Amino acid sequence: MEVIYRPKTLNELDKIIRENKTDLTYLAGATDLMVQEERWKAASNLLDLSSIKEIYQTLEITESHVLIGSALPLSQIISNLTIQKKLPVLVEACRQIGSIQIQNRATLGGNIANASPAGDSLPVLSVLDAEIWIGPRNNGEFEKLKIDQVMLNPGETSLKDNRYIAFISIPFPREENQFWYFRKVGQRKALAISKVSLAVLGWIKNGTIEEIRISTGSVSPQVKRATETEAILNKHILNENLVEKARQSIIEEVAPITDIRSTDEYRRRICGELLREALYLRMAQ
Amino acid sequence: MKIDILNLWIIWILEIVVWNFILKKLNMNNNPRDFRVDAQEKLRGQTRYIADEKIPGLWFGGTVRSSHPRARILNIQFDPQFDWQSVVVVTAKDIPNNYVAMLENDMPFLAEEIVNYIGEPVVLIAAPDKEKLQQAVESVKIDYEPLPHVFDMLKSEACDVHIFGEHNLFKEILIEKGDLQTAKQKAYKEIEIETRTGFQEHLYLEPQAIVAIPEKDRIIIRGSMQCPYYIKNALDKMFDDKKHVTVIQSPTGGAFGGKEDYPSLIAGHAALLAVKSGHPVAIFFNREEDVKFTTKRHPSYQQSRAYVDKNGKLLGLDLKIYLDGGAYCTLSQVVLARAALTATGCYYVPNVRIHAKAVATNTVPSGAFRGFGGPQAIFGIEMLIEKIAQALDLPPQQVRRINLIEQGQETATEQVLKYSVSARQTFEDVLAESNFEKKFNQYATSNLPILNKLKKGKYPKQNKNDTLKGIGVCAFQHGAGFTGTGENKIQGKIRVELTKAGQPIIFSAQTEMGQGEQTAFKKILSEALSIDRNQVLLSEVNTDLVPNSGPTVASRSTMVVGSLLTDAALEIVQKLTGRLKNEFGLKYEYRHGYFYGGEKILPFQNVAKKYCDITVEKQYCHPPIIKFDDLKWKGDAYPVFSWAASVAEIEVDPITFEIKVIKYYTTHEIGKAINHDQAVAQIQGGSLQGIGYALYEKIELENGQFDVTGFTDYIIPTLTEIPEFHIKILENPYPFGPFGAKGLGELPFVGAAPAVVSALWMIFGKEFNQIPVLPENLYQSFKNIQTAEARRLN
Amino acid sequence: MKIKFSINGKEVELEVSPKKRLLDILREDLELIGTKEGCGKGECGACTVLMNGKRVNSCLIPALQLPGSHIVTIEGLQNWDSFNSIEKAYIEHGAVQCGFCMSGFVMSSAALLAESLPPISLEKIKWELAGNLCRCTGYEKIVEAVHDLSQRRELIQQIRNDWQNAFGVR
Repeated sequence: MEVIYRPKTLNELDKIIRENKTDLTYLAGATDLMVQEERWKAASNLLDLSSIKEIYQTLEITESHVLIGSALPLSQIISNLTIQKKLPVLVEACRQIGSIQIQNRATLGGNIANASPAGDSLPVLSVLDAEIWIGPRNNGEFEKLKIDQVMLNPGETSLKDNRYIAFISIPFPREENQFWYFRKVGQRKALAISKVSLAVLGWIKNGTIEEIRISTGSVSPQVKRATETEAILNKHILNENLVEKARQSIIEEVAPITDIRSTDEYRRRICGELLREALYLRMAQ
Repeated sequence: MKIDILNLWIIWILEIVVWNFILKKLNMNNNPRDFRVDAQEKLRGQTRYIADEKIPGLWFGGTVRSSHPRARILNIQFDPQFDWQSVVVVTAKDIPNNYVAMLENDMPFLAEEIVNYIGEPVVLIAAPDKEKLQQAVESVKIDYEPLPHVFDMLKSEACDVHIFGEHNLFKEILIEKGDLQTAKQKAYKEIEIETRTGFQEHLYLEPQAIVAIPEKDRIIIRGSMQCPYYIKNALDKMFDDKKHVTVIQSPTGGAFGGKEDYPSLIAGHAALLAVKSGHPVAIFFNREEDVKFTTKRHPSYQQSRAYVDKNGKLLGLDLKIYLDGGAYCTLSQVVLARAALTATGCYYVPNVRIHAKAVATNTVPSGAFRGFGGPQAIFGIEMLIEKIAQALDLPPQQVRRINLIEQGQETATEQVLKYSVSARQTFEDVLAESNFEKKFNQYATSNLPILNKLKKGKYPKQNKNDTLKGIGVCAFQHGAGFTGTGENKIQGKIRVELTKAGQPIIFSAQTEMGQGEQTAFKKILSEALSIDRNQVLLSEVNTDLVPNSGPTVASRSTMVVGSLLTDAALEIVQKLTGRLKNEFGLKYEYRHGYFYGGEKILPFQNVAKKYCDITVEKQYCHPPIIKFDDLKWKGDAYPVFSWAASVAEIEVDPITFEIKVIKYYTTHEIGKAINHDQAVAQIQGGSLQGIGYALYEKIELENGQFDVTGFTDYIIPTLTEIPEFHIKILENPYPFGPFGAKGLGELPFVGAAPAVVSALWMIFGKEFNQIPVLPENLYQSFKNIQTAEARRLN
Repeated sequence: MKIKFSINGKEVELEVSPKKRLLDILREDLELIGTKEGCGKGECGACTVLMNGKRVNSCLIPALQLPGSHIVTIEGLQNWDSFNSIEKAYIEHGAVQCGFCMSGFVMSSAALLAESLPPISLEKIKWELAGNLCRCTGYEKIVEAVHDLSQRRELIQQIRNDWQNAFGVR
């Protein structure tokens, strides 16, 4: 017999968690959860995060940040004109998730909580330095973590004891001298799980890279920044030699596997190629 | 010799005369806007596929399957914790005749002693609901003694595992013509290539679904199927003719050959469960079960050798073809036959040796799939042509051009192509439409800088949208109708009756599965009678009502069964005018929907109403000029061929090696397009499936089991993969087809993959001999180019 | 659990298991069989319906999230003023073959036409409908039909009015 919770407010939600020692299964869009047959079948205490208005509807834009409810459908993010302008890299990634039917239900919270290395929004949240707000609140405060602190291993997050993702806070990257790149390579252009993806966010002034952030998808067990490759690029003049060094670095830095979708060799190579494309595109401007 | 040629000329002239006479009499309309008769219902979601039907008291059937590729069944254990009274169980011993009637009768409905593939059905269970069914299935444990098995089709003949006969050979075919030794001696060069094609899954949107309804003295089978009489035959045999079996086709959501023979197996299962339980039982596959355990396209391996002169003219061909039939024969013998008979493609070859084998392996049995051996063979010959072109440094279209077969020439089986030959016309047409030669040279030039950079390991793009561009051509054909004497063995029959309202109603076993059969049949008969299409009715496809017009396969429905409809129309008119003469003493003439006699003008419907007891039956047999010796493989392999040629323009992303077909040109010659609009629709659908076969649809065996489970990991094209279609239909009438029509259903699929892969040859100047080609494969190929290049420079 | 929601403009109240899929509720509890199951994993779009003004895969909607929702299926859509034109375009362009994917495509087409500002490019149509798979048609005639519809401003307006009536939202 399942127990279903559909709290209406954050307070109600926090109360349920305090009073409940059983393991809760959170759901919002359910597009990942319901296809995992075993997990879905076994889930007996379900808590619907989308019934909480703040978590379902929040898309709060300020001068410096956007605060997104973890259960906000991706299509709301994609269609928001300000987000399109200020966070095009996020829109580009979300646009390529599944299909419109999926995007009308799928959420950033779900993408994070599912902790799949192929989650398309994750490399982007990584380079955007997104902050994940975790409940329940402690003295009215959410715990704030970065992506790589939440996603530990494929299918595993650090969210134990019924902690939940409430919001994702994304600072707007400074626009001056900015460039961004996102590319997902799948088995086809729609309804495809990523084989390799690359997210890049950087600033370059007078030919020198002020700062660069690189994150890859589907080529490592965790989604994290390619810090060694970033170090090679940061504060250096962007030219062909540097790009080649960076390409060789990222090929070593990732740890792809061979699975039903692709081979480790191909993934490794394409990672390097995508980074090279990203940097060449910037150089061509 | 002289007399033979004279006979041929006489026959040709007679045919032209007869054909023109028939054409004038029947006055075919060519309406490009042929709206389908079933479209509205489908768009409104009103069509009831079998899973949509409300069947009172319906139980659900499921299968306990082998987990070993080959093993002896030692024991079947039923978990005592489960309440076995609440379900019904069927095993092999419950089956009167435990084999699925099909060519070799080697496949049991349920394995009794030995299992031969992972997934082979062993135990059947029926339960009142799906949850109970699942529990029951999980409560059965089978103990096996594993036996040696074989997965590799090339090792199967010689190994010790005896799945079928002495050497696991479902069939062996040898076709010989002329003298290969002569060819070898005269040859300027010998060119060899090995090619492989993979499995392919039909992935019809509606999964397999059959319901069996037990009645006192009969069992009714309803569901998604192509061939109701195949099912009836299989169940008649299974029940030892002791039960009356009625098979009724439900609207079928796609089939492509996957519902030709497979439904007989699950219909038998459902029937056994229904009879034992006394309840209607449904076997509805979910997608995973469908993908993992139903029939797939035969994978192929081919060794081809060509003896050519310095212009690339084919002096001789020596071909060895292997098809992997899986654990049971099913249709492998006929698939092999078609592969062997299609192996010379669209070319004239004076000296030929085709040695083809279909072998058994311990894997899911292979079955029918659009093209039926043809696609595998065309891939083989077209890649060989590409290699010849490369070896002789000749343009690939030129090598094809000089070898195309002409009317009056002989095929590999010494069939003289007497009529309706359009290999050259379609080929030249598509080259012209696509501007092939110009683009070939253009792309070769524009690719150079990109390829050079790629080979040197540099960033390959100058501009953001730079891609490698390729263009490839394929000439292909498909023999319409059953192979050889098949149609004379089937002797398909139809019946046309008149309703009390004066409407003709067609009784045939042909099935609508999306290809437009219902619309085509209504059109053919209504045009032949010059009456409104809405006046023609189609009977439910119910084996108690309709005669056996043969299966809906082999691109035969329009050409073979449709021709019976035009014949029936003539006879109906004859009978009606006969009746009018008897009654009124006047000679009536029928013109454009009206009977004219004396001063009277009588519309068809009125006369038909009056004499609605008239019934016409027509049975097919080949015109006497079509003769085939199926022991020697000599003669008219098919009554006629449909011809086509395609040009695929592709782009390869030099960064990711992703391949996309940008434009797809194809010219099809199909005798006569009964419904032009739907013919174009079939060509689009079949072509895209062929593109999928070439570039996306990878399904492989991992330890004897398929590695994919459904739409998520078996990749078919979506809307984002479609090319710009440029389709042309030519008409070169076949005298014995309705209004000149030949077969269409499978042809579009056959040439798409080779055209796409030829474009890859063009880009990389390298051999591509295996499909599917994924970016990962392309990358590997390219790495080899790079290595070769590096070696060359050193 | 007891759930109350609106289906094709009618309020219904059902007692169902909270995990039951909307697809099954439609086909079993409500006997609306126009919505089909092709894969059960949100990968083919055959089960597409409109939920609260958005197109979704009904195989991935659990009953527990239905209370208060407005669902429109193909059975409801065919009563819209704009339906005849949509249907006519599909028929006249020859876009229907086996039909199993069709209700999903029609739902997605209606959504596309309601949501987008004309003119709608071919590329956009292909991208937006990519969540619906078809194995028979090669998609081309479906694109032509939808493209044809997308050129008609009056029809678009009609669809939006129908949308408004069904969901009360734009």
